[in-house]
Amino acid sequence: MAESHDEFLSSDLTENLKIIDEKMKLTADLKRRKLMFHDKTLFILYLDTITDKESIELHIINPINKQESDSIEKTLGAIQFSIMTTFKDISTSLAEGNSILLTENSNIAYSITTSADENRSVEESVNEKVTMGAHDSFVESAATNISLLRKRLRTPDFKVEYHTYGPETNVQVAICYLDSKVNPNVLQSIKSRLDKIKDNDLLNSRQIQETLEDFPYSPFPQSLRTERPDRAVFNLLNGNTVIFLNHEPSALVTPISFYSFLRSPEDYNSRWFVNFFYYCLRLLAFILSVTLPAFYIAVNAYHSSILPVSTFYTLKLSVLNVPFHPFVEAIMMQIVLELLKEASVRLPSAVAQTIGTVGAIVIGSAIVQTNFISNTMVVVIAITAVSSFIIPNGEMSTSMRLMSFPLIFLAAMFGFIGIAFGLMVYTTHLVKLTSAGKAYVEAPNIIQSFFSRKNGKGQDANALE
Amino acid sequence: MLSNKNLFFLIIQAQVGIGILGLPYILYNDVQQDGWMSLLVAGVLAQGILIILVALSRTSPKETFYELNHRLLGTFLGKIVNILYILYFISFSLLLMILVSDVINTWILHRTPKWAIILLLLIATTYIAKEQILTISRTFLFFSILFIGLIILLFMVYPQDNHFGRMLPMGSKDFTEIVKASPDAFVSLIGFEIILFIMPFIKNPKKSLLVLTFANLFTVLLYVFLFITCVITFSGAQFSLIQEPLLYLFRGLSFHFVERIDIIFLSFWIVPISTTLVVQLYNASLGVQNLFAIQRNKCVYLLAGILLGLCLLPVSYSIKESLSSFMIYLNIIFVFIFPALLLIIAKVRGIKA
Amino acid sequence: MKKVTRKISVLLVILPLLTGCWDQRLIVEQEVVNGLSFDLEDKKIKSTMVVLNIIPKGTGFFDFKNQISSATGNSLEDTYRELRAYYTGPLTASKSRIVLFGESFAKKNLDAYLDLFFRLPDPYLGSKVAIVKGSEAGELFTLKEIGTNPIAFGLYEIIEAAESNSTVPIGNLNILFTYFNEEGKDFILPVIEKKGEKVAVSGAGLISDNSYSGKMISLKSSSLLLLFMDKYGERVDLETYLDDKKKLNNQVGYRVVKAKRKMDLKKDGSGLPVVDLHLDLKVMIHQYPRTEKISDQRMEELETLISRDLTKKSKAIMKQTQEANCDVLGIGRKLKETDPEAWKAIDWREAYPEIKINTKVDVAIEKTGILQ
Repeated sequence: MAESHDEFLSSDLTENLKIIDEKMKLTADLKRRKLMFHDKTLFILYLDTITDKESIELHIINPINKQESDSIEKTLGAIQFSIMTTFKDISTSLAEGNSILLTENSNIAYSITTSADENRSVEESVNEKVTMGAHDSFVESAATNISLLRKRLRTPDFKVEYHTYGPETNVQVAICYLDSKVNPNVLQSIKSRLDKIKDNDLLNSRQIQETLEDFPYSPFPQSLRTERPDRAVFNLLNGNTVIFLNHEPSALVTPISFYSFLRSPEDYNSRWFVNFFYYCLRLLAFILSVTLPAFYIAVNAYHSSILPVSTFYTLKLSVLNVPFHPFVEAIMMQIVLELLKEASVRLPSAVAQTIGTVGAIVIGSAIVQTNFISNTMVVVIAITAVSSFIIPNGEMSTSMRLMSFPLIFLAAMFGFIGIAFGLMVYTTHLVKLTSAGKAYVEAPNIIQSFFSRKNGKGQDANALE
Repeated sequence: MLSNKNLFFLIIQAQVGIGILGLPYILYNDVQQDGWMSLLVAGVLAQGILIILVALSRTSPKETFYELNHRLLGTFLGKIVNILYILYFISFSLLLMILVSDVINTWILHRTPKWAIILLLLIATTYIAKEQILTISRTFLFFSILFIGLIILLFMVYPQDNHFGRMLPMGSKDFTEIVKASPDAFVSLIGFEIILFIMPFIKNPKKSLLVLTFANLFTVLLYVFLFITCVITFSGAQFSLIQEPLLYLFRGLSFHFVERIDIIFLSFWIVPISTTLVVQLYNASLGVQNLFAIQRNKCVYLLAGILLGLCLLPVSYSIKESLSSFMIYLNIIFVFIFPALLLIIAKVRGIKA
Repeated sequence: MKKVTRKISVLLVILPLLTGCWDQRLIVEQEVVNGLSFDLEDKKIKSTMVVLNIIPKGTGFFDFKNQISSATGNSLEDTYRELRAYYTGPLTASKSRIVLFGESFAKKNLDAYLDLFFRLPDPYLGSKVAIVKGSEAGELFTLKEIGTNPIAFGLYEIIEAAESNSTVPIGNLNILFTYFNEEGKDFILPVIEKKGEKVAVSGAGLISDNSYSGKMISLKSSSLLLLFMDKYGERVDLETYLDDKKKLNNQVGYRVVKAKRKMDLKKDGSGLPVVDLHLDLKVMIHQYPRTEKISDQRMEELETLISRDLTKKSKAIMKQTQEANCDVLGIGRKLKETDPEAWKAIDWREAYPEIKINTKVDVAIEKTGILQ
């Protein structure tokens, strides 16, 4: 039981210091300062890189040097501290950015909060831009993010719970909800799922998303990741739960319905018919981006008889000298498109514009002139891409674009019948999905959900067994 | 639990399927322009059977039909009856698949082998049928958008060259002839027998009869509307030649931006046809589950495998005609006579759940 | 392990599908038949086919060429076998615009010859159908274009224009199929003629018992027939000589605004039906020989004049249909629907030329254009 003996601090200061050094793996940024307090030797330990040195100076060293009071507790009275007795606690505390105060002939240590809070200031959202409405967005600190929510929700009903997951990374996760609106069963299931996180290295919100989702293998995201506080607040008011991972600038909203992915926070700032129009447009965009290339291929390869004669000849003229099968054409063009998109995301914004020009003008027109890909296919893929880009959520947008591939394949095999079967399976899959136990896609209740202005309401009626 | 809305769409999707394509042709060859009367007679017949089925399943609303059989007929006899029912559903599905692949081969994909079409059909239907009944019914609700499409397209036929006088003379046939033709119409109304198997899952069992009546009414009215549209569009001898009048209606239809509506329509009408198959698979899988006590989704895989095997047999296609005429009687036995007998047994024994 | 086996089995199920694409017919490969014509030549069928080839000339520019070939045989399929040999890709009739019959061919029982079109799912049933008078039907295709349209399209549009001008009722292969099999109703087909390098619709050919009777209603009177058929197009323009004098610029022209037709069947002593046709027209005068104000009294005179003229003309038209034995109004059909017993008792083909058809036209002038 030698080890368990080692767990606790002894009264031997040098021994303690040695063990702590070992526990911290002799890291180079562990600093120690020796002080004298009423003839006793004190040591302050802290990690140089994540502590606020000014705070240490002001709140620890100064009072101790002045020797205002007899006991250390009273001297430190002005700031927050806790008493520790085990090396494990001490090392964890050090890693969190606290300073440890060790005293001679004593088997307790004081852990003093001195962590430096270096945060990006609240800025405009980059990925979810709006023209109307609030321009703030979440930052990499859960506390700041919650404060952004609290500013909008000044009610005691708003409740926050902190939990820490990931034995290695010790990440703080905040669960926020409105106590009176949230469904307790859903909340319970969310918590129990979070408790099951086994990843030692919990680092990004995708890992949380995976544990929260009922069907992690589904191509459709079943929880909404947003960086806009107004969107999060809107969902809170609908009785959904918002989860923050500290050091992640986005909130996870769950449960969520499919239709929420088609809405932008801007919608709620617009007139009802504008709102309605854009909602319908996005629904159309969803359908287009999934089915349009497949439809084109089916028509081209199987069902050209459905085209009126003038369209038929226009189409024939454009594909006349293209050597590839429309299926190959579509795949090629989709890949070119994804390449361009990735390139423009990765590059700094000044260069990204060049990529846009190169993509659109050079590749776009040259690929047609060299008869690699037909005019119509370029148009079709461009419409598909634009349709998917108007979806306000990036995750959903990409899923949608990729979901067109299986349909393209089926269309190339069976024409319209393939598409019909494909869509049948897609519909079933979407209907089958649940988000935290709630149905993901409801029956098209567009008008009702639109007028109540609460796109999440009315889900309970069809909640799964 | 199934709400009334779910139940309604479940029933109409179970009823409407492949039958709608050829139904007007069969009726017209039986009783000419009076076929709609046969439809109504068949609708009344179906309604009567519905009442029997609901009464039977209400004797023990917490049990499916298979469990009820066990209890009323004893383990041995019950098992035999259940096996017969499973065979009935399998042969119904088999016929359905043969007919579907045949229609697709004739109209759209002329060279695609039947097994490929059937494989595709089975993959899609298995994917749906393995889900819970609530998911199935909610999926069907989405698929029901196609009915709106059908009705709109039928209305589109009216501005074409048609003649309402073709409905005349009305009632030229004897009533007996009309009644004799009604079993042909009844085949297309089959599907509501699923109520025997889903009673335990219904949220509001008391209203189920009402919902079923509305569903039945919807289907019958849809068929009547279709029949009348066909009669006024096709001339006599022409009508008696066209095997799939619904598709031929749309073959002549063309718009400025799209032609050959029949191809588009049939391609997507595969969905309501598949739903009928889903319902048959679901019914059968419940039986297999009851028989061997294995997970239901595995039963569905098993049944799909059996069906695929049966379809691959070359003999399946040559028995199409005999199977479909045989099926008319099987339908009446399994959907009407046997449940009626069982209801009598239940009443005589006075068994309550 | 279980998951792996499941995945493998799914793959095994899907893999055979990869051999597929059985029915693929790429748009580039297809040779699209635009026009078809059938003639009789030495007691054999001569089919002529026109396929439009487009030749791209750089981005956005193209030229076209008609590729015409003909073959003779004992049936349509017989000729197709030969015709297929002339073309580079699979032929499809899914875009055919026009089907032409030579006069001699049209006199055969068309329904039996055209069975192919209705039995296969491929042919387009919206193609227009016409009879060619005066020349071989296939000869029409040798013209490259009509206006700026390639020949087959030009013919389609000429007939479409004739339909909206109420020369012939709207018709295509699909409607033809319906009337081929209709008891007690015949139909009319447009008759076109080649005049030099131009093509014109010259009237409506009367079809009796699914074959061309050889008789034709001229361009001028076919609109009136269409009014009686209740199948008129967008525009019906008629004209009448004032005071029955056929001299230069003495016609009043009028456009039918509203037409109502009534058909009554009665029986005479011998059991044959007597038909009363009554046509109520509301017209707008759009041409008057003198540019002057038309007084109310003059208006009434005009109404009686026009009514009398149209009644007379309609009697002549009905006579023509009876001579051709073409029951284009569907009197037989009406009899069958309203009095099935009487219908069964008579042989309509023999009875139709014998029955008495009374016509009466009532005209009311509703407007006089923008001038009074």
